[in-house]
Amino acid sequence: MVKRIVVTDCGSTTTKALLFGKTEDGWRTLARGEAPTTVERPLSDVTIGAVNAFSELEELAHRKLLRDDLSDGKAPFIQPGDDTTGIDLYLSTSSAGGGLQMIVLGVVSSMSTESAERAALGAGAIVMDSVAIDDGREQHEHVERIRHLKPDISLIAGGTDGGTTIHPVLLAETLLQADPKPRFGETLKLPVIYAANRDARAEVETILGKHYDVTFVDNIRPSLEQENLAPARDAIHELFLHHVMSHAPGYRKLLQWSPVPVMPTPAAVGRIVQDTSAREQLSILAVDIGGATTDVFSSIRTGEKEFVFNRTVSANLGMSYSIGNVLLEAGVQQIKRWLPFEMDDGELTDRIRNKMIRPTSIPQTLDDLLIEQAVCREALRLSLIHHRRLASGLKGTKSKRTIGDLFNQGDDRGFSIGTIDLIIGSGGVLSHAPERLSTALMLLDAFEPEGVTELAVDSIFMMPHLGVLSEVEPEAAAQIFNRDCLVPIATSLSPFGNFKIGEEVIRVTYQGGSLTIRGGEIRSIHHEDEITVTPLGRTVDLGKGAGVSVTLTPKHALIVDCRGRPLPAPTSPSTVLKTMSALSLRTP
Amino acid sequence: MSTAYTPGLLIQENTEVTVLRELPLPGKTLVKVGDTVRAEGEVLSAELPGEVQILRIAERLGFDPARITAANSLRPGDPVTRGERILELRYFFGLFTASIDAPIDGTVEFYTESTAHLGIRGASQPLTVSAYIDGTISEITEGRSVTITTTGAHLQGAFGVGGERSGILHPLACDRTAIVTAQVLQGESIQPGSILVGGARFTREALNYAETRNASGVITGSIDADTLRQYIGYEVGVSMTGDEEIPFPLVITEGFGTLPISERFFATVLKYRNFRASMNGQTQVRAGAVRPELIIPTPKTVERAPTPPTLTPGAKIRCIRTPFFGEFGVVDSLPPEPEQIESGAIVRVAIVKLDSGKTTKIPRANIELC
Repeated sequence: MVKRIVVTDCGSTTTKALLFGKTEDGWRTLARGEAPTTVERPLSDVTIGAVNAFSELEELAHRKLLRDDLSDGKAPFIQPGDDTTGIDLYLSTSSAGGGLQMIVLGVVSSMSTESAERAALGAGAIVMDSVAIDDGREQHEHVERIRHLKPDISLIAGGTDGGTTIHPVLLAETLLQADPKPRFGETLKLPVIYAANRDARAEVETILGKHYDVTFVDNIRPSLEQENLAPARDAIHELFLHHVMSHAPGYRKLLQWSPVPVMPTPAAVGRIVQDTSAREQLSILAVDIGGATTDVFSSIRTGEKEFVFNRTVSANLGMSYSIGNVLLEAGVQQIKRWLPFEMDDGELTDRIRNKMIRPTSIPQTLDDLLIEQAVCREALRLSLIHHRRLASGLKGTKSKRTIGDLFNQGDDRGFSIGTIDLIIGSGGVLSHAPERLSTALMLLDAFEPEGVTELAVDSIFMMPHLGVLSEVEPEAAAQIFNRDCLVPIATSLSPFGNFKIGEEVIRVTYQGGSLTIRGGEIRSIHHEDEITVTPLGRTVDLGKGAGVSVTLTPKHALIVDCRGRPLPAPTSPSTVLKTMSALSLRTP
Repeated sequence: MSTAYTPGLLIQENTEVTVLRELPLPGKTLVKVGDTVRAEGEVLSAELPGEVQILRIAERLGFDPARITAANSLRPGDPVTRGERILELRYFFGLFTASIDAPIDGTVEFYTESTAHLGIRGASQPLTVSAYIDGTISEITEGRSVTITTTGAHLQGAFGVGGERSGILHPLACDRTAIVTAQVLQGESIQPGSILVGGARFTREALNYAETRNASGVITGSIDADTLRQYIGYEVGVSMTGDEEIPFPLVITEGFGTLPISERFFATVLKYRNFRASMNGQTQVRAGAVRPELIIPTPKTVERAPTPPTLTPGAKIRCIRTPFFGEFGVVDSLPPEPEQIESGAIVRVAIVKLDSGKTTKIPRANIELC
């Protein structure tokens, strides 16, 4: 019987190892150890970092995990375990070396290319660029762009089965001309997945066969109204394991340690989000804001017991390595509006860029912390826009879209934010914020949830570990997710509809009293008893329909956000200061 | 957790410096172990496969692809010569002729019948790799890579742009805290190929002036965002640089803003005035971090590399974040348990006695060893 499991997540910078164990109380997290990832030079072997993380785990868990002599090259841990030593199972996820990086090529940006992006992102990849014949760039510009990329895998989509073969052939020609080189394995032929018009396969083989490792799978868009992502996703996973990872330094060895394939980190996070959504019957929005990228996952209810899952990664929105890019994309004024104090533009941009070149440094002063939190709001806001664009009009894999959906693809904002039941934040700036309500405020400002939404954080970024664990021990993963991973921080109630600043919007009634909250105000209320919230205007909606009251029993703080939707930008530092004070947050 | 601190940017003298030079694909090694090489000397070469040029014959001639396919006799692997008639098509009762000539020398890569597109792969292109530093070939992987070793000083900056260059070290006469303007540089006797080192930051005009004097590189304390944007032509969003097409590499030792050049960095350069040196602005602040560097080969022989400093009481450190950014100090003590800092976070800290005389608590993540 499996009683002790170690799961590692080999990240770009750090390899994080978690020891899970079956206790009298059920499955729990017993210890966490970490060590620098060793996929880069001079060590160039991911297993060295993994063994180091095991060593730290041993020390912290007071349990012998590693064998004494590791010179035989076999798995380094003692297996099976007993009451005092060893483990019964080892699993791992990986995003080391930047994770799985892909380029996708399609014919129409909003159709086959978008489907190809969804397939790649759903499989846990970072899409380095999407090339579409109609994307406004000339063919030579496509060639020039692709030439400078070093993807792990390329994916070609486009053309319906039985339609013209010209466009997929053009895409193959573009790829051949660009001649991108694989990241790992200098002698490796770059893997290409062809998921386009099946009638062009022979010609594509003629063009690419000599120089690329081409895998042909079913068309991602066999007809205009049909999307079929599964064959392309499966091929991506297969190639990731057997071509890409086996050429990455040390992975051949790591793959032998585990009976279950090493999962790309984002795919593992996606798995646990989907599992939780299905088990708890909740629409979930989860975000992981890292140093280089921001991943957004959504699992949205589309019918009774039916959910649609989407994942996007904003490759250049992050809190350290990519923080300068958040500044570029958002603009200095957009970041500045979240600060409760005046600051010169030059000083602000210098501080942000200095974080970019000193990525491991942390805010020491409150001012510096608030600057990072301001940047975080913008990174999250931009990532959600990106996510909703790609999640637009989805009706799930292998489901048919209606003709009406086809005409709506361009400007559909995707799912309604009001449908979200639970928002999970992950990443240092959210999980390690000194005040939990400041995390809640960042999520409210960035995502602007409507109605009633639970807000939580992933305590120590264990969602990847639980994602791969759920592949083999789903019950254990579920127990640990609820007990150790998810930290509830607040319930947010955000009325929407037509109301003005200063106007009475809702009345909150609780045992022993009541209070009225006006437009433009935000409050945190701490009552463990039942709370009834009543709209005071006919158009005020609490998520159950205009004018309908809601009753809540929040286990943690209830944040009532009457600032309106869409959220008006703060007009001055004093507005931000007022909001922070209302939530009893520390101010400069 | 005992190693949870930033090792610090390298400033080493009398050390052994090794540089690995690699080809992106198999090729030829042009040197042998023990050879002495100059930075500009070529050590490796290879032939890069030629680019594929696609002739869209149907579109060019205005015929249906099927007619072109019927007239085409070229097969993959067939050689073609620039100007050679590779396809001829008679039309209108055979009275008129449409034709296509090969645009380049090369071989046929493919022909697709549905589009009547012909791909021709051009001749291979030579690629050479230079030594980058003055030194001695110490190791060779035949046809793949060479290792070059020298003794000397090895210094790293915090951020840079531009690639590899070599030149003569020229420390500026101005104060470390000075803003280097074109006027400041006009007061210096700058020889072509100089690597200019000093000051808190260069103005755009100063960089322009350095370009007119054919400088090989600039190393200074910091830079402001506008000057950097003007110099490289765009805003830096992600700290991955090195490919910028700029007159010479630019390296900053501290960060963005106006911060004096690192005292130790400048003091080291002062010792080696007029020495030949190699610099590289390439920066990648991520896993396997690459920092910009300056390598100064010197005659001194070193038996073994010095032990890297560790974070212990008495260690000299530099602060890398506000409110003490750029200040130096000495570690007074290292409390074992995490402590609360001004931001409210509870983190591992160091008690540091700053050179200014103040003793303060600083997160370990915000100091680097000198």
